[in-house]
Amino acid sequence: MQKPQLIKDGIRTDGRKVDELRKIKIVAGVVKNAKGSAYIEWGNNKIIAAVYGPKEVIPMHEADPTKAIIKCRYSMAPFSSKEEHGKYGQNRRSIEISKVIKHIFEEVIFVEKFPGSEIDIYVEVLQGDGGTRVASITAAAVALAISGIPMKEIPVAIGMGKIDGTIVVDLNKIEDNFSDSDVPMAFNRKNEFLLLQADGLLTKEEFKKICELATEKIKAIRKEQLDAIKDYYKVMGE
Amino acid sequence: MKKIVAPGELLFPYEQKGDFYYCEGGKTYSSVVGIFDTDKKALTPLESVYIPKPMHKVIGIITEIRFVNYLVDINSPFEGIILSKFLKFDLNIGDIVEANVKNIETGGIVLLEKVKRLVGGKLIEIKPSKIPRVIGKNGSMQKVIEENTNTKMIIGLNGRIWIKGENIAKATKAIRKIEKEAHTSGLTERIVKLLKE
Repeated sequence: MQKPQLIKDGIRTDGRKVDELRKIKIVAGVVKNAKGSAYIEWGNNKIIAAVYGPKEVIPMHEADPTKAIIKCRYSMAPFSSKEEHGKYGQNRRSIEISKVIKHIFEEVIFVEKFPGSEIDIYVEVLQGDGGTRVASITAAAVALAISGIPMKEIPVAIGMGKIDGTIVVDLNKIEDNFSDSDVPMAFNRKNEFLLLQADGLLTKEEFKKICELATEKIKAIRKEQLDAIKDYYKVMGE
Repeated sequence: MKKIVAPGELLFPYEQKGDFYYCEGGKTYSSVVGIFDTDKKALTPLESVYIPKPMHKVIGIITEIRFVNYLVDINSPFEGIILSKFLKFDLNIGDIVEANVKNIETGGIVLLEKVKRLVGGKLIEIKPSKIPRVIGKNGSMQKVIEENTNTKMIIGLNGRIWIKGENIAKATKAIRKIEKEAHTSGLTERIVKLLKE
């Protein structure tokens, strides 16, 4: 497939400006059996995240007597994408994303409060359109917050990138495939990195610009997360 | 003024010890989603995970029988254990018991004492964070429910309530209402109204 023109006069293929996020909607508490859950619509991404535990570790030899272990399973539904994502179960890509999500939440949760137990985080992508890993992290953070498991902060994630030398925010599927660089990042409360992955080439100045733009844009995502939590308890109160 | 706080929100500009706080750099932050009363300077969690502590009264279900002890599910990440040598009776799998936490051993094993078997009632489970509301101030809410429905309730801090008596269905309904509306004010009056219907 030939590379399409992704930015025309500062407007992208889906009509957004270069520094505009897609529309985000988060609903907390959608899975009744889970301890905490959240559903996110980030542009065309549709993702459900659910948290179970802390509970007994299975298999028992994996238990750590000093802290809780966290297990994460990211998976894409067979119908989620035009490509072959998720059709044959877990693959190299989904194992990698599960691992990075796991590491983020190991930083954030007070794991030493639950020695010898296990916390499960499940993320299921129903519809994928670029940037599913950052959307998954954002949704899983809300699910974890309403589960009552003590944590330091609610992490927030954003995907950045570079197209034809221009820094852009929140790439979608087609931009992701043809971009020069793709940088998913996750931040904690103090805007320190919890996740930083990058492909393609970036100069020092470009990377600096990406970081500045990202820290500014995550404010809107943080607000969505907090609103979702507040709405969940408002509904419960009525 | 009351407001909902999320994990990582600044509560006090100084260090303060508490179950649902953590300190970093001389300041105190929330570690759970809860309601923070800015006048009383108190945080009530909306959700929590039950962590056993000595002297807590819990309600457990026997899951395994061993030579010298019983394993008990106490609705927490840790497993409860009852030593047979302190018991004057036998227990079976599935029995419901009321017990006090003696201490917590390394590896997350919770030693239980003062075990009583509960027979002939109904067990219901609610969120552990809502238990203080079911008990009320000095047991006021518990008393209201017990008197109006002619029942006896044993409340475990691990989120389990055992009810025995006349009008169990009504008591259950009241507890479910408390669980749902625990963070709202004027709850006692509404519960009394529900019970008198």
